[in-house]
Amino acid sequence: MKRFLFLLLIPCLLAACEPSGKTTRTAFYHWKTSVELDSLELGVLDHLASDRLYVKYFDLDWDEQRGQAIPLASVQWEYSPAADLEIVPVIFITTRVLEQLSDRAIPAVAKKMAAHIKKLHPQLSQITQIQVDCDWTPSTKERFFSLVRSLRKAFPPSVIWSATIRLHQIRDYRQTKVPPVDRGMLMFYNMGSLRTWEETNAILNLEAARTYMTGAVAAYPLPLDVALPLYHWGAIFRRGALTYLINGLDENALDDTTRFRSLSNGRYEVVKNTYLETYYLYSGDRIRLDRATPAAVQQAADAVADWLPQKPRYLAFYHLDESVLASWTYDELSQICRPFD
Amino acid sequence: MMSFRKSVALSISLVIAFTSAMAQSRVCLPDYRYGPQTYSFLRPTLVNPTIASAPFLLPFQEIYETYGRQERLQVRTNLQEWHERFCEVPDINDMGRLIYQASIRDLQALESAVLNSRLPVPISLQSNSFAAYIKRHECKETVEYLIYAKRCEPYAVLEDPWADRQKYVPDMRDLIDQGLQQFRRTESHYYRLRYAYQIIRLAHYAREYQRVLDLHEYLMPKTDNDPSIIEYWIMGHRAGALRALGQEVEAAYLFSRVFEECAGKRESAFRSFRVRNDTQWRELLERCTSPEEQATLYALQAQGDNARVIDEMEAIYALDPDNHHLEVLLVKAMAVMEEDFLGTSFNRFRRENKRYHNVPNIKAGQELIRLQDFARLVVRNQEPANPMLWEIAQGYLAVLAGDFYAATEHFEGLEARTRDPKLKSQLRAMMLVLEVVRMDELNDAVENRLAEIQFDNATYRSYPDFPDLVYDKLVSLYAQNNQAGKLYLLRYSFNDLWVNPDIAIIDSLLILSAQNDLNRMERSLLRQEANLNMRNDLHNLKGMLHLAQGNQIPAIEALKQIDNVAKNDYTRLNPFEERLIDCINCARQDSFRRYNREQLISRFQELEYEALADQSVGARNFYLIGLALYNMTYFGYAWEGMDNFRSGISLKVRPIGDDANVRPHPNYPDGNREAFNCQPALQYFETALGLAKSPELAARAAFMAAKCEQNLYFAYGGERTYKYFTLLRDQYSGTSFYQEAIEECAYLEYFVNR
Repeated sequence: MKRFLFLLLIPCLLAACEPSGKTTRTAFYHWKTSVELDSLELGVLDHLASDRLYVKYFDLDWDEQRGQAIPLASVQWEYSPAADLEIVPVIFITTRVLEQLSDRAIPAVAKKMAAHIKKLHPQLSQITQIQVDCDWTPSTKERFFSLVRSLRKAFPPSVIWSATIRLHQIRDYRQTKVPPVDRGMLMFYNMGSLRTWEETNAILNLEAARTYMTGAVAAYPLPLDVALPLYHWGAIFRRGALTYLINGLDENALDDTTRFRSLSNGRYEVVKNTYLETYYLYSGDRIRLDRATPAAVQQAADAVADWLPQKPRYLAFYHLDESVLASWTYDELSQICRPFD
Repeated sequence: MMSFRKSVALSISLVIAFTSAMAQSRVCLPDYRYGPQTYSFLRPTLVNPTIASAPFLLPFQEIYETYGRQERLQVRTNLQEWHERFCEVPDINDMGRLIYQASIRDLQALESAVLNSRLPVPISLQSNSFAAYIKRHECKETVEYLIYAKRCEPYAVLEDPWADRQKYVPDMRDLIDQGLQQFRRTESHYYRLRYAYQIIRLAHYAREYQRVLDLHEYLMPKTDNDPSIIEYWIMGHRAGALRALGQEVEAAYLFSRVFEECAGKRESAFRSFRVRNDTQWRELLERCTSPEEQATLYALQAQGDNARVIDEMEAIYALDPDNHHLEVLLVKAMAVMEEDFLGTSFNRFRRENKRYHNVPNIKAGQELIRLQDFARLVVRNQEPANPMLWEIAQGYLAVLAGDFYAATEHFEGLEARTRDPKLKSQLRAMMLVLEVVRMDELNDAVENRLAEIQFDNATYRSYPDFPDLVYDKLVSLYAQNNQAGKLYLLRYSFNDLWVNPDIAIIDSLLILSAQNDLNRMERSLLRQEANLNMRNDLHNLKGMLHLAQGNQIPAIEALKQIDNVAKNDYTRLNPFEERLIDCINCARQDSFRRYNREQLISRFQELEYEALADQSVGARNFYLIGLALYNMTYFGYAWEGMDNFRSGISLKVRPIGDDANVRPHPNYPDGNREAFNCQPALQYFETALGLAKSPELAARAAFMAAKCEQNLYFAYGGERTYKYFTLLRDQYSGTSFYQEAIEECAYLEYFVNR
């Protein structure tokens, strides 16, 4: 009987590993290969009292030549995380892997992934949570879920598992199903129509989000945390088609009027063939700047706080990078957290 | 339709497959890709495959999918160099096996055999002519180098992608030191260069970039070899180290040289070539030592996604007018224009191409004019490396611009002057394209010519997009000239017409099949159906369709045209059986007389005549006609009276187009016409109701009218009404038929009790 009582206590013990459900804490994503935090990045973590960093450990991709799943862009640590900063490994799994991987190979790949995660995790730090990031669809869901189940077996039961959840996976969850994890991280960004020149903001478009969220998110079976964007990019259109996406591109890079002509609403036209951030652009190419502005992110935070049936445990920002953070103030970031207080 | 990319893939793969010393027996083509559905008649064999940028007519992923990665080419070129080094005495395949496949143990045993004349070549290498050569000539330095290279191999090509390369760095450093020792004591500069390569590569993979540069500076002056591809392999590693150390301009320059000069490293050099900004680009141009080197930079720049190639062509031409990259870029630019302009007015996918792929592009017109002007300039100045290609291109660009007169002028006389068989074949294809696209009238001569092209033309058969081009052109000509019958036979089979008949098509085919002087295309269209009874079939279809539409007079007129001997070959049935519950597959009484459709309509006319002449039988006769017409609809057991093909899913899917009777079916792209229309039957039941003296007959007519009302709602939607069920319940509930109906018909029972 005592043994059974102990079993009953396990969920409580697991819950104790997580912060209290009453307050929403902040976290950041780190999406670069080398983890070396500068003073600005450390300052933001400190100011927002962020106690968790989701770090992309590697991409799981498919190698055509070898015919097997391989890790790419494995993380390199140039920084020793503070003891009070929880590091959550994130593994990005490409859809190509899921399309190619045979069911039989899944356990072996999961075993290799587990070993790789353990190898990449900083010494002196324990793995308490792992996140898998994958844009699975109805056709790839079974393999993805099977991979997650196999991965879970390679870690102690105390490890919490989370998965990133895209908006279409919320809306269509009856088709895409729900992954076998403990929590979901709602990726509340990239919701506009990126390939359409007329799109107002492909990163944050609340009208588009509403069609995904209304009625669906309240019914979603997993408890959700929320990730909001801080980044911006330039979408380059050539011959009417989206040709390149330049991360971090902003107005300052386009202020040379001998090369770029401002149109309106963050849109530009290239007036002279030129290199921009390693991309060669032709005169006539058009650029649309998409930006997660403080006002847009604030609106997104307000809306998502309303839509979610319960308060998230974590509000994560994507992502911790000097060039991204440079256009934000501490106050703006703090303000965004308010709807979740 | 085959895209240009796909045809490039095919041709390049064939070139590689046939020329490779390690040729593989099977060439895999990339899978179908979702892209604009356009025509392409440009073959990549138009360009000289040895030009550095020639393979880059394709995106990388497609190159891989088509003929594997660059490693194959690397192995081939390396083996050729070894073969030449040994005066082509040992067999090149044996050299390949010893260099790439022998184990380190085999090589060590071979070394022992070289050092000790009494020891034989190891058993595993005894049939290898290169091993025998090494033993015979006591090539100590050769076997020492091969052993060293074999030891380096695992660090260059990590077998396990999950392994951590950094873990092996100490071992790699040891190997570098050993390599340096062996380098110093090796006399042959051939092997010194190869040691230098192995050592520098190890340092690069150990991420010791400064050491790469130091080793390069130390080792390279100490080698004095004949020109070798290994120098470019080394150059690639040096460029990588320079880039890692921030010397991006020098790195980009070196990568451009590797791209130009070394086929085996071309792809990796291309991938690594990077220019950050305009300043770097200017510095890079200044770094070049000749206009040819500068031209290579523009050729690399032209490989960007959706690159506007004409810009780069003009720049290259200004630097080096006979530069060989120009012809590659010309073909690339023409392929883009071909996608935008060829047959866009009649391509059957033109709407999808515009909507989903923005083809033709709004700016393509200006680009075509620029490309035409440029080709004109090049031909006028008589400077290109391959002048005939440029002349042919001028003609094809005129085809794409719709200037058929100019295109004809360009092509005239070119065939006689073209010697190169590949160019000649290409020219014939372009001339045939011109002939097809310029056809704008439909007459016997045009149809005969198109049939001749289809059946007799070798060029048509050797270019996979000709069938699509000719088909789309014919569809367009038939549609413009209201040739509904021929258009139908071109697009579908005659059997499909049975499933979804159409009066205009039937009439058109009747006219066509009555003609005695058919042209070759018409004969082909009619013959492919191999149907000797086509005219009878058409009259039968027409009669059936009129009957389904409630037009009995034209129906019987059509059915009378069927040959008397054939009339009973078509559907015969008795639709007058009364059934309370509709049952499609239930057994039918075989004692009834069976009618063909003509007899059936005659019977309807008799019944109607009797009804008008004698009011006492009027209600019964009108009820019987209504009953037969109802039973021959989609809902009745005698549905074959008004239809040839009935699908159980038709009520569950939305109609195709405006005609609510035509529903989609997986086997019939044009849809399946169902006989849903109960309106003619309903009219007869209403007349019977009005005339009926007997409550029992009136109850029957009301019940059948209610079924018509219900099925009209199921088939066509709208507001649901219960006029006849209400009438039946309110006025005829005392009849015995009503009691029988309510026991049999669950819906009636539900309606009454709700």
